[in-house]
Amino acid sequence: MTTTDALVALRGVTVIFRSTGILGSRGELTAVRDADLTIGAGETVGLVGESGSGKTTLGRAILGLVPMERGTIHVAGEDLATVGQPFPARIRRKVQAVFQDPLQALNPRHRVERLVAEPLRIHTDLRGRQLQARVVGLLEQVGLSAGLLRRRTNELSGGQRQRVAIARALAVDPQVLVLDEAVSALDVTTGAQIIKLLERVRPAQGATLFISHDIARVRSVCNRVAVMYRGRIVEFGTADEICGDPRHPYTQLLVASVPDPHPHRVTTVGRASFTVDPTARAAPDGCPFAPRCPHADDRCAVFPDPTVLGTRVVRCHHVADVTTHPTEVPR
Amino acid sequence: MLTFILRRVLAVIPLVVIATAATFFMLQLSDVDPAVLRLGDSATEEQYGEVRAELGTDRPAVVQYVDWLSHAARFDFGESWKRPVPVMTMVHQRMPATLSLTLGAVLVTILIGLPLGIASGVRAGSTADSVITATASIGQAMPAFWTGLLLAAYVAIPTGWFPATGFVGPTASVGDWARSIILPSIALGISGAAALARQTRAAVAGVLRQPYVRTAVSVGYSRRSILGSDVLRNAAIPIVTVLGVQVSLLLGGSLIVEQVFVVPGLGSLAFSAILEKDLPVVLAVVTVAALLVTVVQLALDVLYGALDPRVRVR
Amino acid sequence: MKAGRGRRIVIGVAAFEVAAVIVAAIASPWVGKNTSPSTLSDSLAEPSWNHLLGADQQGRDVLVRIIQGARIALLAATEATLVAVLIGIPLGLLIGFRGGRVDLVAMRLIDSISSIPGVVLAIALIATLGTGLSRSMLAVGLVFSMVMARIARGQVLAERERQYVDGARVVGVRRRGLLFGHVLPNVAPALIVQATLVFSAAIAIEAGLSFIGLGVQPPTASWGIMLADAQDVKEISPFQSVPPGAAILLTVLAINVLGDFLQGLVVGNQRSGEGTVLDGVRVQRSPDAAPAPAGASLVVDTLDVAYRGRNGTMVRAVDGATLHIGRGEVLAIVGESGCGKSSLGLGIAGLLAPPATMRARSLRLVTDDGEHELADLDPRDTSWRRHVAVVFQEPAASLNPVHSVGHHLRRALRQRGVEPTQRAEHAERLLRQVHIADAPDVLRRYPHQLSGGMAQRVMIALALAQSPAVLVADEPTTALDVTVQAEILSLLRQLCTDLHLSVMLITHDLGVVAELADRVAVMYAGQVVETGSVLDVIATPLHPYTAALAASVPRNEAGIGIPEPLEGNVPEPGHWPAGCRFAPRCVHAVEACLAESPVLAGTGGRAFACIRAAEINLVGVPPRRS
Repeated sequence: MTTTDALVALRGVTVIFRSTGILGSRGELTAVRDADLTIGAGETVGLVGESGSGKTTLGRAILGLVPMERGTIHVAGEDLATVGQPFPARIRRKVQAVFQDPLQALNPRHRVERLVAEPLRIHTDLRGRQLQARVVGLLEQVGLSAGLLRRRTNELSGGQRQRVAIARALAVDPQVLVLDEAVSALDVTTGAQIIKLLERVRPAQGATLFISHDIARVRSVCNRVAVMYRGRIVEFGTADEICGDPRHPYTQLLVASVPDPHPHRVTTVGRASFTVDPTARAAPDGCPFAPRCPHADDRCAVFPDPTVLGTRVVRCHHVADVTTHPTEVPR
Repeated sequence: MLTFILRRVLAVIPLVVIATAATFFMLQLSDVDPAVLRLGDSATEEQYGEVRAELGTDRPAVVQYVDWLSHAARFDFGESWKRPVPVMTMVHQRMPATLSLTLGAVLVTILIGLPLGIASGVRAGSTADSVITATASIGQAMPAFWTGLLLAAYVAIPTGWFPATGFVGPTASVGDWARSIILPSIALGISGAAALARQTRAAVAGVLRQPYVRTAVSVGYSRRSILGSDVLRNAAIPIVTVLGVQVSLLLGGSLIVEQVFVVPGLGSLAFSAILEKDLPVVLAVVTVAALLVTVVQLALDVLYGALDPRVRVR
Repeated sequence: MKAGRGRRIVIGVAAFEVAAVIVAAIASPWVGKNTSPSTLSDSLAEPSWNHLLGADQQGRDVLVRIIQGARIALLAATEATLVAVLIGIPLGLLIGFRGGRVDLVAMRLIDSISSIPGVVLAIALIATLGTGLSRSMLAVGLVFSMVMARIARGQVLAERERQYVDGARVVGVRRRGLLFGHVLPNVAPALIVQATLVFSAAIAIEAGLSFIGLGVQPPTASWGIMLADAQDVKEISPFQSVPPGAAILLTVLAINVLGDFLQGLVVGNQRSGEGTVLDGVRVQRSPDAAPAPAGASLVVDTLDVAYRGRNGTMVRAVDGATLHIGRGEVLAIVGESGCGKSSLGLGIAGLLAPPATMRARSLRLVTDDGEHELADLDPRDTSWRRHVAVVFQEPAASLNPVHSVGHHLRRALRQRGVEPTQRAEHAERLLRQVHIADAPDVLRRYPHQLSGGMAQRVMIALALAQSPAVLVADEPTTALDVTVQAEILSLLRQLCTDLHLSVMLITHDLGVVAELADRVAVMYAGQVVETGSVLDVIATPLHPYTAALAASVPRNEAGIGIPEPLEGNVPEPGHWPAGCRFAPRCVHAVEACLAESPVLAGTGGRAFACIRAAEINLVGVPPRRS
């Protein structure tokens, strides 16, 4: 996949949060650093990582919700950095999102009808009956009855709310869908319902970014997966490569930590045993994982260039000597 | 800790500058002539000019303000326009009454408001809670000067236990001093006590719902231990904030209550100075009030830090 | 949200009072015209048929003057409130919505001005603007506009951070639409409540200013002026001060009550009769308890937990749960949210709050010092509590923010009777036991200085400090990152083995179950529907709900694809269907399932509640292929 035929292409994306005082900037935090990522047409790319990894911020950068420090984001051939803020309507309707908690992400004072109609009012000429018909059609598409039109979000179940959020995102036929932990707050059963629904209704020729902390779920829905740690993408490859045969030590730890539902009694105990030295700090330009990594040495003070292994990219100095079996990672 | 206090003290300076500047230029708008104030309206133009030059009010307003500020920094608030008396002396005379009254009112606020608030918060939803909350609502709606009037008309005058008017300094007679400020303090403190009781109730009831209280219960601590170590210890944090607001309100409220009990405090000084547009006196009172409020705020901030490790300076 | 009957009466009376004041204000120009002109012979008359509230020093009827004063009070308060709202709210919205440096500078200014006591500021403004009703109320309005601005700004800042604003931006809503269509409607209720407070305060302040001569000037009737008149005659006619003050009090009080009511509509009120966890809930017991299975640490026999539902009636969340935990055994309780898992755990740990109720045939705890029948105890009896420890989902919130880790542990050790001299050392040992390397340092830290994983280790150490007979762990790793979860699971596993802990593990995550549990109880709609050893239940389920749960779980395996979802939702407590509660969602359900409630039954530690178990073939979670 090259940058040119990708529907979404990120190059060197860097996001820095600054807190302002009266006389200027006070502190700063680099949330995402030099992230490269592509999503092809019809592809679902997973973005996994733990809290503080920057995965949500990267998604928000694509949505134009956080300012970029450096780098470029191309969506369907348009450079987001040059279109200005706030995004013009033609960009907005191309990129839509579903967030983790629909109770937070949907205006609590608006009724379902208004929530789903809002993007249609902004981006289409539909009004009156036609608008209403389209809203009902969208609700049906996500498995909700027209009887819910007059409800507010606090009168819906978690699954119903997320369906409303999906209907709203799909209303303008976006080409890019950012799903930011879209099923994480739901019960596993409801989550499975929503995943099934998304699989059916998401734009078939569009690009989907599936942001999640759940490796197993990511593997079940994604074509390719990128792994983030403290603002850096450390590994990017096909879902089976990343989740079945991880090469970056962090990915290995992450995958090994996933508990399996079969009571096999070969526990993850001992597998996920990378200890954290709380006093250790990563070098400012080094590999952020080095303080927790059993392979770390002096080279890790500089963040490595990408190593390409077939369809996958790994950013680790030790990729050649890291064993391919995560269970044998030394303690 | 010391740098924290120092930083906060320094932060008070721009605050007082802005507050006094606002007052100064506001009163400039009402174009008052100090010379007329001092001499009445029958003096000659020459005499007026002399007074203006002496008081420095013939200069541009900005220059006057900067000059005032540089003197005020050395606690020199100049001379009253009305009478040739240093403002500092006038403020000094009025301080004991206002401080006594405010202090008394703060005591009333805390001694009545806190226990009632705790009692009602711990049993939120009970009959006792309803009674206390209703009483507090009434207390909060009572204007302090009316309470004062009632206390004077129905307690002081019929019983004669307390004077209905006047103030005795603590240096003259401690007993008379106490008797002279009890009723004004109650009048002034009642609504503060009511407000504190309501806020304390909310804080205590809120803390009782926190997961860490559940943890404490699960470990098996006694009710008494949980109330003290978990509930009150945490509820104290928002309560301290409320106290800060109340002290500021009390200082303002004392102005009107002073009128009821004819207490010669800063309030009546400010009141007459404002009516006469005696600018130096007004500015001095505003500065003192702002300083008092910020000193209380600072003290509460320090207390806040002691109570809450999350805001403690490292 | 329904208000109690007493509350409704109070609100009704308050509304009536405000209506009466408004009517009085409107009617006041016509009031008193027909009465005889005031005569000095009526001076300071006592209340009588002629003068219902008496007459003042100049012989004017007090009631008439009160009614005339109502007009002044409402006019004054309206003006001040309008000024405060029209200046303060736009100002606050603007600086809150702009944020950044504009906000910092503006707030510094507002803070400075607010450091002058409001009355002093208002009087200074009056000195500039001049006395009289409308000018003095303009001044009061300006002072309150600072308060309104501060509140509006705070509301907007908080609202701006809410995610629906991002949601609206993503669908293309512009700045103006965000402010007026999204943020403003959400902050409006709070601002309206605030405006009612300004209104009632303005009534009192008008009276105060008129009282000291800065507001309305005599002979106009104002409640403040009337009090000033009363002040002069307080020695001869103390009653003069009562009617005008009462008018102020009642009006201010009524408006505040209505404001509180509005606020309650916005944020919700606490309902009467709701207790806290401190009060505890007594277990109502049925007398026919069965003997405890040998070796059990905890026996739960037919436990019901009920809460007060939305419409005020009691609804059951746990319905006849029967289970036991053997010594050194980990029993997992699994099910979707709303199945009663957490209520069961809270009930067993004695952490329910009234009006919740609990009933059981028996709830027995077996400790080193014998059997405790918890159902016999007073809810305030804390003697048994240390034998049941709990670990919750949010470790940071479960630790008291004002106490250090060391304080937490030493306090728990004291409760257990450990000698004062040993506590510090013991606390350090506990931290090492939960694999905290730099124990002395962590002992000094406060909860906010701990990461989520570290806080959960401290919670576990606190539980161990109690030396409990049973540990209730409610979603102990759900809020943690997956690598941290693995560490905590590994720690719990090791502690269970080393210390023979008996654990009730409440979780929705079958992965966590597989890692830790020895046995499983599956709950659905308040009932235990299947129990057995973890391998039996998860790998070869006998209840369709267990099988459906197993099928919903995604696994990290190649070529598995998207898991098959279980359609529908758990019915809410109070709306449980007759017959088998799972039947409406069950693909295997037949007519008979809707008719009769299946009973949990079985042999050899394996039990299930499904009448079709023998006829259907269910699949659980198979072993990993790789």
